[in-house]
Amino acid sequence: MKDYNEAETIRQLQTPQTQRKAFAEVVNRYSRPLYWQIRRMGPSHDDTNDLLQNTFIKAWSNLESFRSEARLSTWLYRIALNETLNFLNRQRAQQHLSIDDADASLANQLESDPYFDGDETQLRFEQAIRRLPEKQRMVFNLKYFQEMKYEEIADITGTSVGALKASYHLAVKKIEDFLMTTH
Amino acid sequence: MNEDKELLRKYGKKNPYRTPEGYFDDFAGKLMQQLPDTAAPCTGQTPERLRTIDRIKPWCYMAAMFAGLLFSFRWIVGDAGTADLPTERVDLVSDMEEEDLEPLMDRLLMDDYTLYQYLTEADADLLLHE
Repeated sequence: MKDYNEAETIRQLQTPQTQRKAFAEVVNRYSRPLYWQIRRMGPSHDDTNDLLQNTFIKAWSNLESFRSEARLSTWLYRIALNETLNFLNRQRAQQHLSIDDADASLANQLESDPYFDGDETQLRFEQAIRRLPEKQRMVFNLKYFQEMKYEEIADITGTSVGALKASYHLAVKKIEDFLMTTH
Repeated sequence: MNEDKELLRKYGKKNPYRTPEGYFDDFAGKLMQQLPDTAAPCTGQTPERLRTIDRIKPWCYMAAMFAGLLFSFRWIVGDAGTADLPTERVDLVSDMEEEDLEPLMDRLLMDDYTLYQYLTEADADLLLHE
C-alpha cells in the first residue's frame, strides 16, 4: 500500500471529482482496525460486518459534516463505536436482558463462536473483557489493544482524560479479579 | 502507570479472533459498490427534512390533550376555588383522633431520612452499573 497522507486524503475527500477514490483508500486503511475494535466489543462476525458497513456508509453520507481540523481516524472510530453501542443496546432490549446479564451472555457466546480460535487462557481473558460494562470495555480495548493515547480516546469518546484513566484502572482491576476467581 | 503490566505478561495482545478467508480483500470492493455516486446527501440514510406542520403537530396534539384533561377534571370536580368538600368527608377527617391520624400519615408520607436513603441507594445502584 502506498504511503498514506491524511491531509492529502482529506483534501481529496472534499473535492467531488476525487472523493470516491479517496474514500476507497480510507476504507482500505481503516476497515481492519475498526473491524477488530467492533468485534472485541462483543458482536459476532456477521453483526460486526454489518456494523462496519454501516459505519462507512454513514461516514460517506455525512462527509460534509466532517471537520477537517479533526482526525479522520477519530471521526471514524466515533461513528463505529456509536453504531456498536446502539447495536448492543438494541440487542439487550430485544432479549429483555439486564445490563449484567447481557454482558454475561456476550461472554458465554464466545465458546460457540466459530471465528474464535483462542485457547483456554485467551478464552478466559476475552470473557473477562466482555463482562466489563460497555463503555469501560470500549476504553480498555482502545488502550490495551490499539495502544491509543488517553488524549485520542478522549477525542473519540468525549470523556475527560482523568475519567478515562480511572475507567482503565477500574477495568484492569475487574479483569484481574475475574481471572483470579475463575482460576 | 504500568497497571496492566501483569495482564500483558500473562495474556499479551494476541488476537484470538479470525475472519472468513479473504474477508478484508473483498470488503472495500463490495462496500464501494453499495455507496451512491456522490457523498451527500445519501439516499435513505439521512431522514427527510420535516415540514413545519409536521414539526408542530405533536405539540398541538399534546396541548389538545392537556386542555381536554383540564376540562374533564373541572367538569368532574367542579370549580376547586369555590366548591366545598362534601360535608360527610370533612366530618370523617375532623372526627378522627390524632393517634389515628398519625399512622395514616406515616403510611402516606416518606420522611426525609427514608427519601435520602432511597435516593442514595438508587444512586449507588446506578454507579455500580457504570
